[in-house]
Amino acid sequence: MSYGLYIHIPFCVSKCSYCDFLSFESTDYEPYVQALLTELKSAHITNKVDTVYIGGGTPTALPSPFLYEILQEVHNFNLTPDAEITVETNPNSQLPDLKSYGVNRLSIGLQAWQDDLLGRIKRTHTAHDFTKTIQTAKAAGIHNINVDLMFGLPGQTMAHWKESITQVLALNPTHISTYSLTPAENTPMWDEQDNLPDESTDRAMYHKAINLLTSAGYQHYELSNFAKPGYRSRHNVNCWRRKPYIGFGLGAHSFDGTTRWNNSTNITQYLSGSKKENIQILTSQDAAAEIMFLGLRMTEGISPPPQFKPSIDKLIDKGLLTYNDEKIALTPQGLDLANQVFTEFI
Amino acid sequence: MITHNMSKIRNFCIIAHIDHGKSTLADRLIELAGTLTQREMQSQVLDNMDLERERGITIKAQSVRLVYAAPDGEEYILNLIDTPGHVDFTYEVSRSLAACEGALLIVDAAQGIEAQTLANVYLAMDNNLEIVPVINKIDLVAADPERTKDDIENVIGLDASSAPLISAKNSINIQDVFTSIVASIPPPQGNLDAPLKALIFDSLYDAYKGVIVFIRVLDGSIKKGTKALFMATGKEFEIVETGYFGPGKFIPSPELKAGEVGYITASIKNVRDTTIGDTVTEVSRPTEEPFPGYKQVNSMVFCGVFPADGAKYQDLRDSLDKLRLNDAALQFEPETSVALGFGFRCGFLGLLHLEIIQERLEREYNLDLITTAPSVIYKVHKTDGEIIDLSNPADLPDPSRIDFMEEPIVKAEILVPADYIGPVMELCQERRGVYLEMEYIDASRAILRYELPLNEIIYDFFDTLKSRSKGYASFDYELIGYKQSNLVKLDILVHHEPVDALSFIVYAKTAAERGRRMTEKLKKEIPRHQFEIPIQAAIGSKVVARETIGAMRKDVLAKCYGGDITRKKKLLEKQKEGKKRMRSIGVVEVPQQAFMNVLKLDES
Repeated sequence: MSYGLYIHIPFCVSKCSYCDFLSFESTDYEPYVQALLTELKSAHITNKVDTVYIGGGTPTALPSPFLYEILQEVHNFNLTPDAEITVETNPNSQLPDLKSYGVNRLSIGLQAWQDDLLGRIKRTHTAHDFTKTIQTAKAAGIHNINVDLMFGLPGQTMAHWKESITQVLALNPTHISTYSLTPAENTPMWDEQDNLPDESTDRAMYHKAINLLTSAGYQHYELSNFAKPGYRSRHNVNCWRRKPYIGFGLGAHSFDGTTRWNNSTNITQYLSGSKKENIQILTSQDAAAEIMFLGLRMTEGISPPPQFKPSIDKLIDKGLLTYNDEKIALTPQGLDLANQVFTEFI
Repeated sequence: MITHNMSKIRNFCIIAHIDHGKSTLADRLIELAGTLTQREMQSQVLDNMDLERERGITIKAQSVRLVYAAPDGEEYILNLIDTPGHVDFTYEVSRSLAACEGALLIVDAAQGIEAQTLANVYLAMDNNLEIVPVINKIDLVAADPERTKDDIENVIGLDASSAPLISAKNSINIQDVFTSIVASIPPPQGNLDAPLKALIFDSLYDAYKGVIVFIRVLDGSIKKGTKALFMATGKEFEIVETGYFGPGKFIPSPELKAGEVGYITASIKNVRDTTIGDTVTEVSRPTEEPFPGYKQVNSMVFCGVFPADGAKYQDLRDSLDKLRLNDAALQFEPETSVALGFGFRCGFLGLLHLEIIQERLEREYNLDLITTAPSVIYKVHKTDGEIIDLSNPADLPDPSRIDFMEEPIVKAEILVPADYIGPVMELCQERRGVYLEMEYIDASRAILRYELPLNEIIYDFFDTLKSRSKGYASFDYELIGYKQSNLVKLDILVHHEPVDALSFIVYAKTAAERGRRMTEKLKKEIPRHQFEIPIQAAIGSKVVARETIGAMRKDVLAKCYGGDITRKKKLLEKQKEGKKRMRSIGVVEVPQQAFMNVLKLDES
């Protein structure tokens, strides 16, 4: 069985107000990259590796020599010839020569087209930066590009949202993710919840995105993800299908098919080489629950384990699930209330 | 060894308002009479149950026999008969009083007389008891013994000039109390040779001895082997043991004679066979007349009691059975609710009794309970002439078959500082009170007398009275009869399904307001569903209040961050936890807590 690799780069030029990811505004790159390289070198993964995802943080916040070193190390794994290698970036990052190092997919965090909205969520780029980045990437030969967009932002209107989608569509990326803003505790956004569009506006925006993007030829293949045929994020699809992946770097999560764990989230501990925390060997019940709440994120649905039949029947009655050939899948209402479905299987 | 000499016996009880020091004085008397060493003393030995100790009130009457060595060298037997101190237990109090010749009236030197005290003083007077005033807490800074004496003389008309001034807590002047008891309370009178006549004033269940019956012997004597007849129930038993009340324990003795107080056992299995107020006599030589004043005790307040966890139904039944062993006033029968499952319809003497039983079930038997809104007994006159005693709103016949309804009415006596007369009168007015009279005790206090429907009292009356009088008003009531009234059944509908457990009978004019409050509360308690949920209060088919719980539009985690599946699962688990302990009302899942919160009596 082939594996995925996830490599975490926790650096950002500035932290966004909604961000509760493991990232910080630091330039102390060298020791981190050294620790990361050591970790990559000491990994004994003989299996084939068919996806690599370098995420963050902002991987392109790293000076390019560091990024090149990491990418070179990646090539010491047993990569399949068609391996999907993704790097996340921000529109105001200087794009290094990723193509030469085998990168074939770029994920750009645009979030919104309106510079004032971007400012309100403490993003430091403009829509113009984004246009330049996507053009640069294409000129450099990277054609498989994802664009992240967010809705439900403070001050965001339906008109803003439609504009963001339309402008992005005009640049014709292969993949678009649309995430509903979920304020997290201990982030500045938590205190701004009163200024957010209400629930019905949020849902109207979501439905508008589905409508516009599917009309433009994108497949709505996961709750928040849209792709042109053949351009789904293989790395993420594998995650939802419970294929194994090994995480490298601060706080990175891993799953080998039976056990989940993560690296230390404490930078000092990570740099000193201690790893593997929260080791959890999944029971068959855990695994069955995961099959449901991860698999059902995919719109094509899943073949459910038989023990869930009563819950499934109940959810079908409630109009949240539907049969799709031999599989079950979320209905349009089920997409809005997915947690109501998932909790039935926990 | 003390010979039987009735002139050396004093049977007495203590009348006091809650907190005025009844149990503390009892402790001191026991201590000083020398029946218990300091080490054996547990604070307030008379209050046996933990709950009583915590609430500082006596629920079940306990009694103790003291041996008092007077300074003149004589020994006296002092039987202290404890009385329950609450309005719900008036009948029990009256029977305890009937077993005595005298009563100590304890009045707090700082607080004066309160309504509760007054009610019990009247009961004692009705029983021709010699009342000995005792002024307690004289060591408090706020104590005003002279004013308290005036109070006793003005309000009750008792001479308090020679009342002992004591501090039970700090053992000041307790000797004076003994002197007063011996000097003022008459010894019992009775005929040792007459047929046995004994009054049952309490009983309790013991796993080994069966029911232990507390009696006061009026005439004759009783001993092991006596074939006894319980006159009201008609049951016959052969006496197994007789004895006295030691402090906290039973001390067997060969015989109980006229004038004495003690206990009997007779392998009695059911506490119901030993009703309070009944007369015990001898089968072979019965007394001609039973002791007067016996009453069947009836429940006045009813509610449904359901286990929060349906699987605990049998546990609840077992626990109620055990409680009933010691509490003849507790009634229950199985009840089924669509919303709450299997449980019991329980009858209580009053609200306090209800609360005590509920707390004991929860604490001593470790049960989580849901109790429905308390109800009283309504008399439903049907068009066909039949009259139903209705204690469960669910059993109300169709309105078309009802001619009219009657509700129980009480006479309430409220003792209130002059400053709060206005607010208290307003409260009584709001609760449909009919003003009877007002009597000033002194310049600063008055007694208000009102007729009030009992169902207005069981709904949040005590708390409101306390809050409107800043805690100063005190209150007592007695049932005086039934009155015709415009009553309706208010139903609560969740998503058009009536919730049987939330139905109640209410005065027609206040139904809409009560309905509004219920629906508002419920709206806060029921989580959103994927559809809109109307919550309605209705009388028959007429909706009098409505709230709507909006549909849940969004419940989804948009992003799965960096493969952190564990975190996502934890979030789902937390959400799932909140979904547990739901009850289905039609298609709506209602958290159990919602029933508890909506049915809570207080209106905060």
